[in-house]
Amino acid sequence: MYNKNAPPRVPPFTPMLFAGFLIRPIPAFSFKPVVKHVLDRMKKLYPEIFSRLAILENTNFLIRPTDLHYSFHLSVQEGETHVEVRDNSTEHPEFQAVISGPMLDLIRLLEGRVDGDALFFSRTLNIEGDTEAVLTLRNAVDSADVSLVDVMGGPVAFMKPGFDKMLSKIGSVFEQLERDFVTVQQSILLPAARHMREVDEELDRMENRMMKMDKELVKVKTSLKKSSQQVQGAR
Amino acid sequence: MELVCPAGTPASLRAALDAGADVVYVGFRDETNARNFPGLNFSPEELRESLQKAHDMGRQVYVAINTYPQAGNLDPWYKAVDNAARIGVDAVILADIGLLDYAKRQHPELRRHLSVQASASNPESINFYRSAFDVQRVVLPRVLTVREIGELIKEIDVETEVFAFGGMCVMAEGRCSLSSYATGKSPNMNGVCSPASHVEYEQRRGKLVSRLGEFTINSFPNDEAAGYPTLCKGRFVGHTGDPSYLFEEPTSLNVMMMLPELIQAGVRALKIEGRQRGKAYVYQVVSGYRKAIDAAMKGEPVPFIDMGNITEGTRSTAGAYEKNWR
Repeated sequence: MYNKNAPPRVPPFTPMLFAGFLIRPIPAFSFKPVVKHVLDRMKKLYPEIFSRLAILENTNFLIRPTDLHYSFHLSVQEGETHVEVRDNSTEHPEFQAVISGPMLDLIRLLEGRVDGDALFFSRTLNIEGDTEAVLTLRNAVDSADVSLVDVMGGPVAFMKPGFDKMLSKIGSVFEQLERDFVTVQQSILLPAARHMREVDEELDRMENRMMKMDKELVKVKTSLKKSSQQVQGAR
Repeated sequence: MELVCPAGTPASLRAALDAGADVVYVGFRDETNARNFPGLNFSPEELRESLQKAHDMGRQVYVAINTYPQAGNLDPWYKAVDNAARIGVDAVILADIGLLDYAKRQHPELRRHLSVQASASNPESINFYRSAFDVQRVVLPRVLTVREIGELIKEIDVETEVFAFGGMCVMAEGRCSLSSYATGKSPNMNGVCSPASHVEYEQRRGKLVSRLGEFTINSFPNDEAAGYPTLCKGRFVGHTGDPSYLFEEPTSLNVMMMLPELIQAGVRALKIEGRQRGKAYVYQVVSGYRKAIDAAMKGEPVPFIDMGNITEGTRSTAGAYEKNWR
């Protein structure tokens, strides 16, 4: 079971973190129509995902973008998949599984542009709770070729090309911003990282010295013990 | 040189074909294959559609039915072989001698490959499978050097397929039951090593702690790359007192730079491991290997293609193919 009392992790330095500050005043329930539109479209476009999710009846997932103030609550009830947005400051119900990571990586995962295991190995993605349920969700989502541009698709046919182009543009702007943020972060952290490396090296040297001293101490103790036994034997 | 690629879902199969796979291997959605993971694998209907797509592109599909049938419960394995034959797949990959015998008798026209799970690694063993069950190809265990593979090929009359990329195991292939001591389930009997239903992750004091069944098997500080939650890659306390990798460190196999030697040795096919991985992994590895094989077959130098981001523990090794620990 997900540990609700675990301290929150430091959010990653991403464009989503800044975008999140801007949209923070918006109450979670305002996203309801958008989420409903996205979910309905996904059910229509990718029924194979939802047929694979059916076995997760009564499982509650918390999908937590680490750079946003909101989380997604995904559940399957009576064969239907439900998603709602929750404000992180409100009390969450019990969840069987929690998936957390930067929002753009979660989107890439949804679109199958990145491998879930690779994100896990690199510690970008974190999972807690029911691992089997998480794997089932991951495999279900990966079984379709999801495109968020198609999912968001404009309601009127003649608007669609322009709408798709705009969504793609927003996507690529965020991708570029993400790369820029990494550069900025590396540049800010470089002096601190250098200092930490020096401290680490010093600690390693001290640890080695301690280990040598420990070994010496064992030798001295053994030799003392032998001498004491010899003295006792002589008596 | 044939490039044989994994797919756990129809979308992964499409990704493999788009990336240049010659063959895609898959499994049915049950315990008859060694990647029996939740939400993964193909229904007979999905396999039929996927096979049609592959054949339309001039490619092939193999089906792995490579776990060992359970005493008193043979039907799922017989049914899997019958379904594969009925759908018209290009080959079945089998490990159990009873199942090989069944396939040969019931579907003599169905091409049979010997799975790595059969652990056949010497001429006597391979020639026996050839004469008794008429296997057309053997998938070699990951225990031989390239030189040993070359010598073996000279003594057998069967095509050879070797693993090129993906998960590494320390086990004698097909004989590992380590996972069953902690979970009651093993790869060869149930198709799962460290079944997800027995795996739990927890954030504890700034570390990611992984548990298998009742055992804590690893603990990763937040800046360290993680690996799969298998016992063979767990960190344990030995005589030194500090937890360390007593069996194997988290790492992936990658023999891309040895392609010219494998071609020279007479290997017929290269296998990519990872039916449990996502389609992004499949696309990246398959396109990388497609480029590398095409270059090597033309006698050009193998290009360096970075796969670091998708390897376990973000590290790779040529493992037994080099045996550089000797």
